[in-house]
Amino acid sequence: MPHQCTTCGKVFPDGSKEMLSGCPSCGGNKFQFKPASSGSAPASASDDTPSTGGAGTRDLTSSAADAVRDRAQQQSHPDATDEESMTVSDWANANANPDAPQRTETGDTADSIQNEPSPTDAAGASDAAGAADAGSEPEDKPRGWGEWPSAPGESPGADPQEPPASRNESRGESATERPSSSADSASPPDRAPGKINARETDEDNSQKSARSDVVTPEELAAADANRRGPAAETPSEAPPDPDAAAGQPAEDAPTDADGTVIEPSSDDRPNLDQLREELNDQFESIKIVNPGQYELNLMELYDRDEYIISLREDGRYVIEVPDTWGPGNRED
Amino acid sequence: MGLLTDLRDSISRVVDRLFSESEPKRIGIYGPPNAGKTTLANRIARDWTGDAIGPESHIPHETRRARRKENVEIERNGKKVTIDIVDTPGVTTKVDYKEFLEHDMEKDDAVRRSREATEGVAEAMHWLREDVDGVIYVLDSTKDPISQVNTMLIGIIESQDLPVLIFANKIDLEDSNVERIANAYPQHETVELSALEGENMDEVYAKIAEYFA
Repeated sequence: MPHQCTTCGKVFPDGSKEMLSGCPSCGGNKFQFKPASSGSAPASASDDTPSTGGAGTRDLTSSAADAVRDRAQQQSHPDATDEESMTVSDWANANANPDAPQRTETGDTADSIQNEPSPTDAAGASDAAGAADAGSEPEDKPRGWGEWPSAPGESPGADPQEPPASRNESRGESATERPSSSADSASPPDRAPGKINARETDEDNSQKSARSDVVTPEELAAADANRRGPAAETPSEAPPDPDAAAGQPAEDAPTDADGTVIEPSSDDRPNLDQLREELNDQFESIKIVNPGQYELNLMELYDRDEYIISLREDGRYVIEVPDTWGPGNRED
Repeated sequence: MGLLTDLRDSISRVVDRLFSESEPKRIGIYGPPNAGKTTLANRIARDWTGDAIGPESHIPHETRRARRKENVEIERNGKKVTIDIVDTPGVTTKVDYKEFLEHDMEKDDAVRRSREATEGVAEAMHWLREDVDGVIYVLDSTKDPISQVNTMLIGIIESQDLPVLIFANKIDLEDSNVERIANAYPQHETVELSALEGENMDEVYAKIAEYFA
């Protein structure tokens, strides 16, 4: 399974030694496994922002989350400014537009999301559910080690990819715990409110209100209650109303009555145990047996320039390079 | 990269030894967890500089980052040596958070400590490869000295041609068996001591001054 720099998106092949000295493109030392098959959307959906995507190197067929993110990038490209200028409704409409720029990839996730308006498109519904799941990690799994990468608000504090705090603040506590709609979880537009505000004059009122409305705790609670069931019961119908996506998720939150409940397929996504095994196969100096349990290969540690490969709770891992361990950086 | 780094280090090490007699030697204090490395480091630092190096604890892996005390001047029997003491995290091949739970630690803290300890081992190995001029290898004399970690580490130290002193610590405890250590590693000088109680520190300092001068 290839690796991907979480900072610039550069992809490295299996067992690449290149990345062990830090990302040659941006110098970052935080990486994640890059999923090779559709539907397997690991941490990428949770908190990668489009602006850091590096779309040129990305495998667009890799995951629904990637497809959504790249989609947003493509949409914003024509005006050659930034993706923040696109509103939620623009984005959602674009997703529903079959005339959107041609995509050559055959991955069903990307296509199905683009063409998703068809309510009978089972594959689309399934993949969209997968995307929603990847982005808005449900509460029904225990957190911590052994679970899949979590929602943006739960990323480790040091994570440079963490979305702006304002996003969570506007939602209140429960939103931080659980983003409540698929569009929300993957929507780039609301990530840079400051920039969007600067363009307010270009917007119509509905766009404005869509973004400026703040979700009340009551709405969140209602949405939460509605969605309390299986995590992927989501969009078997039309995509969520853009307004709802931005501000009122409660109204459009799908329920069991909307159609068939689609359970997320655990086979679609490698779990953390598999990722650990993969990591250990490729770099064996530190074997993560279980959360908090490690086996160390002293000779490997001694022989290598790079030292720490730490698989974190969110499925990411960090490689420490020697430069960070100079005498000047040590405690006295 | 590794080859170049090795070459560079070898050259710099040789150059250091040839031309910088007055430069402080960097002496790494190594050993398995809970052998008393930090207690020893603190004892030495306090005796010669008045300051400590780091917190001591009966909970293993208290030291999870290498700590250094510079320019410690030790003088004994007319011999004088200036060293930088590097107190390193305990080296082990397994770290398990459950070990910390026995010390009334919450699970989250134990898991974090476990991860930091693992990183600490990696850092200790890094120091051993690149940053130390000599080693004080500390063993708990109440425990069997023949272990995978000890054998491997001492082997690495020997392969690096680093001067090493083996300190048989905790001789104040009943189960202490210094002879077992001396027999396990007869190729190296073994000095018994209790860093906690300050027993036999005169010999410790004499050996350091003699060996690392």
